Amino acid sequence: MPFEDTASKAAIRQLYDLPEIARLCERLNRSLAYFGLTGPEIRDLIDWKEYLCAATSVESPGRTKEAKSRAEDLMGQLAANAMFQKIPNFELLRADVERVLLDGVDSHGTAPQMNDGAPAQTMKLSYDLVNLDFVSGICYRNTTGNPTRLDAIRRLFDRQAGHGFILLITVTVRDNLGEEPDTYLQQLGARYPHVLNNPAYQHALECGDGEREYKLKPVISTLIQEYAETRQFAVECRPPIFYVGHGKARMLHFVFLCEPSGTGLRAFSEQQAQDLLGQPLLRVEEGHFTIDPTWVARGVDLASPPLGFLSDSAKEKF
Amino acid sequence: MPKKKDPAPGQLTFESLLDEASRHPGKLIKLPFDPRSFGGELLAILSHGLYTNPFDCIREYCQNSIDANCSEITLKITGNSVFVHDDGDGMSLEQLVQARLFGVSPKRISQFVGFRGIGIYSGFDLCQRLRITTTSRGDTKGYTMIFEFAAMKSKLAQDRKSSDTASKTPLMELLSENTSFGVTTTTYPADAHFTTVELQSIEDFHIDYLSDRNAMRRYLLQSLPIDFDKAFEHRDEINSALRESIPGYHAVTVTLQSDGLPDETVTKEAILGLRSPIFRAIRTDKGTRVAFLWACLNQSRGKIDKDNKAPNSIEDPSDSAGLVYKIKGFTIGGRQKLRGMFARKPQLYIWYTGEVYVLDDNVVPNAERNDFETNQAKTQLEIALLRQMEELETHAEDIQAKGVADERVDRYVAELENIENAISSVGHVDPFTTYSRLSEILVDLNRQKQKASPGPKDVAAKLVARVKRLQTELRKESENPTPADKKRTTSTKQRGAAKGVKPGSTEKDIPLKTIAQILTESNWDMDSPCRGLVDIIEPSVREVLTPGSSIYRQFVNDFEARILAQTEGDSE
Repeated sequence: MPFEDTASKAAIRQLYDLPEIARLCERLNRSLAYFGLTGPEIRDLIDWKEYLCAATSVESPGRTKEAKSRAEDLMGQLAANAMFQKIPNFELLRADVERVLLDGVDSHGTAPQMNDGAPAQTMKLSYDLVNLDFVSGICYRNTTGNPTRLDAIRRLFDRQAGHGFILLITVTVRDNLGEEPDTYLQQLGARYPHVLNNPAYQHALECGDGEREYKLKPVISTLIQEYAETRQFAVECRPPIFYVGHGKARMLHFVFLCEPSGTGLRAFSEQQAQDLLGQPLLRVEEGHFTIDPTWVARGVDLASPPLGFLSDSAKEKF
Repeated sequence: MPKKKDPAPGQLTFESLLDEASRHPGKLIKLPFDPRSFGGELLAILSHGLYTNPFDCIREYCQNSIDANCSEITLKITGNSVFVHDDGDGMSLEQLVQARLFGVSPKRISQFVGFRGIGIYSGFDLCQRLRITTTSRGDTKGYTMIFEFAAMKSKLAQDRKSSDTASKTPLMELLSENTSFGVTTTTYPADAHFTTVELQSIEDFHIDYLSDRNAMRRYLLQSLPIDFDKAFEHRDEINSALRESIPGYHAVTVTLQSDGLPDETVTKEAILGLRSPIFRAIRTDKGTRVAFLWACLNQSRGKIDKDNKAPNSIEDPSDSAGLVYKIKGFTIGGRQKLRGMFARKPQLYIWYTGEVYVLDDNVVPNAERNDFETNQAKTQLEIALLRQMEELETHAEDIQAKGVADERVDRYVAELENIENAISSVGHVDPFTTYSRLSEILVDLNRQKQKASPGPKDVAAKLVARVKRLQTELRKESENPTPADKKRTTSTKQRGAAKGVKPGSTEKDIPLKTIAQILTESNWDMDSPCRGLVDIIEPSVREVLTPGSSIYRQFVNDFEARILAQTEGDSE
């Protein structure tokens, strides 16, 4: 089942994401509003609930009769768990998360609770924490060829306009992009020639499909940065994490700290393309973090600046 | 023509019964039932029209939560589902399986009120699918049971179209084919215990109806033993008394959750400014306890109203003025129902808030739950309650009289000061009028002294001595007047200050009470005809007597004294 937990996933939630959430909570001096894919076990909400004042969970209602019935049971279990765990101001939306972000409402016409009251198409949201914990890849084109998931992430930045938030994205390394990540990286190199000498860039280009995480790591982080900046958000991307999830699914986890720039044209993040490329890839296995061997070989260790943000409890797990 | 079904093994046929009866003419033979004897339609018959509104159905599940010893219930409306979640004991697998049975609940009806015989099927009419998730202490597994009501209803609809009795689906078959259970994917801590009932696929119309927060809150307050708000200062004392005196009583809080709305906790709202609660066991002449009441009297002399409203309260406290019958958590009738038991001064009834918990099982609510069915038990309850209500009324009257007395003593303090100042100044007193007034005060003070609170009582005793002294002075003065120049030593300014009058103003500037004010302050029942009369008399008196004149002042003082005397006469 896709929502089964693993020690690695739990370690990421508790040792990697949680300190970021706690820091934001402390900085804002208030509890946070959550939006995301909790899954029926709501493990993220359980781990983070002391920092939350509201939560909107989105669950797909299924398409076939059988899937709908199964989804109803999952949602029932999800809601029961939320009530048992006393998650404050808990809301359950029934739709694919992409549709909620694109359309502004779920299949019952219910809008996410942290909305500004505007009509669905122009509605702005003010969530502090968005957890897009997908059980598949970042890009699957729909029947009309549109990458709905990426459209939805762009729309998320539109809807969150002016409201800073933490964006957590978890994806499998499987997608139907084919060779597109390679083309993307080559064009990235053409636009920013200084990345060409970055060993991580070269490695990403050279590695095969069995090591797709090395390709997707720079693709996703630079892509999200681009989406955010053109929507007036400066982004700080934490080093991505690779782990093997349930059913041996190869997963990548990203943490983006998105701050509105207050500008009208676009924002410019402090991290440049070469910074994102040079960020170490972390790995989690059985709850223990490691720095990917290719970065270790390049001399990256826990004392390296990109890992300076790690909490002591996280460092202890390295 | 539909094919006739063969009888099940062991089933008695009509022919065999007839044969048996024929062999023993005159003998009555037991007529056995078998599982096929009960058509699935029975379920529809039992549940159809059972509840006049969807809140009633939700209440049934809440009641079951209460019966399971919960302290908190969460009612969540999301999509087309309603969840009733409680932190009660939860159910083991065996108990969950037992819960699907009809009319074999182990609950004692006198103590528990949920699931009125129809059990878990209360939502049959309202929803298309019912899902129960539960876990109990010591079990880390969660269990779920699902009832496919839509499939059952569809099957019954098919059956109705068929005229062949044999093709009707038996109840057992209907239930067996559409009920399933399983173990949840979630595991729970060993100390976890809860039950969640989810009514799925409710019609939009009913979801909209149930989503009305105000209506839901009022309904729950009316129908469940909802706990007091934590801000209510007498909460613990009342709860403790109710737990002690009412079998099976325990109060719960209900949290309302709906998509897009903040959570709301439903509690009996705090009412500020109430005196300590009064508790009374209501007994018949034979000493049988038939009810238990608690009541709190308003601290200030007057009805419970918006002045008693606590911050953050939603409801108007005047809605909680008066007492109300409760029976196993349900409110029976409104708060006006018991007003008539305050026969002498019904206006004092709304100085109280409280509840009367009926304990006699023979007192049965009527179907509308606005009264009890007429029977001997009801009459006995009312007679026994009347005695206690008379006691409450007398208590309120005492408080009223005490308050009036305290106020009067206060007023005499000021008046005597004025008289003393006036006596010490030339030309400010008419000895006869002043002496008469002092006599009136003396009579009244002696009366108020009996009723006043301890502090004002002492003050009144001292005032009596002062009045007597002043009367002696006046008598002496009239016999041997003091030269005018000696008296003029007191300046007007000093006199004014002594009276609490602004410099430059005179005694005439002190505003006199209106007739309406006097009546209101004396708690005279200012109903509509009375107010109309006052509205006529007031301008007439002002026209004839001229406000500010001594005769007008005299009239007002005399009128007030008479009204007070009348009020006290009433309470005596």
